[in-house]
Amino acid sequence: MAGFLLRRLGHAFLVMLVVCTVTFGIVHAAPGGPSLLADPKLSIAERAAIAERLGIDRPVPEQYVRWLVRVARGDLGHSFLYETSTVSTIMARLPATLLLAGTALLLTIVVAVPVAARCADRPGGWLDRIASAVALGAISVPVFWLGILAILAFAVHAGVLPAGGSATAGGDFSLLDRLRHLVLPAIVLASAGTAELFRYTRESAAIQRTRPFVRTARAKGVPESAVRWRHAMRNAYIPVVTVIGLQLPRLVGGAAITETVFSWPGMGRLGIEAALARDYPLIMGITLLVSVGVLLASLLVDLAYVALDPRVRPDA
Amino acid sequence: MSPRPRLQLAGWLLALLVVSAVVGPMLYAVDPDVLDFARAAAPPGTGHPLGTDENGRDVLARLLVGGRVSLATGAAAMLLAACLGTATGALAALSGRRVDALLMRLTDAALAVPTIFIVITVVTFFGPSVPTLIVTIGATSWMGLARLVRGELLALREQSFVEGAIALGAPPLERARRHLLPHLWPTILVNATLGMGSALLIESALSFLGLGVQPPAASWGNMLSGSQSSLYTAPWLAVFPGAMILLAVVSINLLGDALRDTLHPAE
Repeated sequence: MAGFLLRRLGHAFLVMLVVCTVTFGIVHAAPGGPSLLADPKLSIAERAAIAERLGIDRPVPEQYVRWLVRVARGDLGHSFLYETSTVSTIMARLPATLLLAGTALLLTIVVAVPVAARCADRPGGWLDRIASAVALGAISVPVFWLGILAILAFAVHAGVLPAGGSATAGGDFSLLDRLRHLVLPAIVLASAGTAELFRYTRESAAIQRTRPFVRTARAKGVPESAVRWRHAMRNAYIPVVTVIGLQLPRLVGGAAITETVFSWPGMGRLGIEAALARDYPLIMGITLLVSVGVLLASLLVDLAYVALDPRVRPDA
Repeated sequence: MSPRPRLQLAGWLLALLVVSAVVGPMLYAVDPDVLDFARAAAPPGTGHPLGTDENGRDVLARLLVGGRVSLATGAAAMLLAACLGTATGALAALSGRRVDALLMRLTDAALAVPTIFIVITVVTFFGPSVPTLIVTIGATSWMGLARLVRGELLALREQSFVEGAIALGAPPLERARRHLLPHLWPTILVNATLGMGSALLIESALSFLGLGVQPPAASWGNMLSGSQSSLYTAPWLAVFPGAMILLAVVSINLLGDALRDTLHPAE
């Protein structure tokens, strides 16, 4: 087990090094500096002074090595846009994204898995048909458009929920107010992932339901709900866990768009603003943070396999 | 539904979309770019079947023309991703262990990076245009196929008909083309079909952020970029282009699902 963990951590470290190099390469290979320098009012001397202060006047390999050393120390430099430390800028926006993405992931799991388990009881039944059609729509809809439609229906027409933001302007913090702002973006963000998880879980569960041990359990007189959850679903969970682990990159991409549509003050919207303004340190900081998160999630998925399926032998 | 009627339904829907994009602008001869501020944001009906946008341009004409750009961009990005994915997967599986390890770590890295920020960064550098969109979407969508192709080739390599081809002295390229590639088609076809759906979605999201196809040219995505600010006054501007994207991606995903159930590629 320890050997397995070490090997996986070694892999993750190599992948992070590739991520660092590729991110740095992409951000530096393209022409044009930060948009800060594009201000036509700046004189050449002022421009050079800014470039020197930001360290972008040095040769690229030197910038790369200096950057790697600083990253290893946990220093991601200063944002061009905000003139603050990248780490503190990201940390200020991270909680809002964690709240949104965490709620969405929770919704995904508590909706997709039970519905899929019931659909697998009767493949081709009415519940299965309706759920599959809705899921096909949900994986095919542009997430920003779903957000716009949700605003149109619930904020513009019905007027029951706020159209954006994370709190009522000028109001004191209240849990109810936060929840009212969270409902629409969380559902919109969760939709595609829920549909994807539903599709995989349903497929996996339907296969398990046809296996002989399920028939045996029924013949023994095991109640139907126990057949479903303790026998069939337990064996269906491996692909389910994989898909849940794969949700993280999707959630980050979706959160960036959802936060933009709903003016949610999170890290995703920060990333889009940073990318539009060519704020290298901020883009690289967010990219590295998300990559570490994704790699940790895939490590957790591998550990979950071991816990779920005794046949998976990590040291073999 | 069983695969066959689904395949037909998806085929008809896609044919309808492609025909309306190609032939539609010729039949519905209203200039999609002509501005008419006197009749800006006119509701559907009123001389314009689907209304006009905030600059008084006819929405139906723009939807038909925009379909060309959106579908062509999605298809081209999908082709690029399919080529990159197949090439990377094949190279990893058929080269030595070191190349394989390097390419697979590169694939893992590409999967771990939040592509949306990288894509936006690159597009802002090179300036938004259709070729930039195609290249950046294609270059960030190949990883899934690369893994599938590599896995299948590793399994195929052990098959006796491949050993037979080696024993008969077939050169490596000939082996790849005649003995390996035919087995990969189902995987590539299904993955590329579903990939075109996601390429369309990425294109529309980028256009919505103002980084896609640039006005005055119309695309389904960029028709939506101004729509959020006019939700209270002209909600139809937000509805029709999104519905077209949804219809196109649903048809493509329906086709992909039906192909998967028909061809049974390896998962």
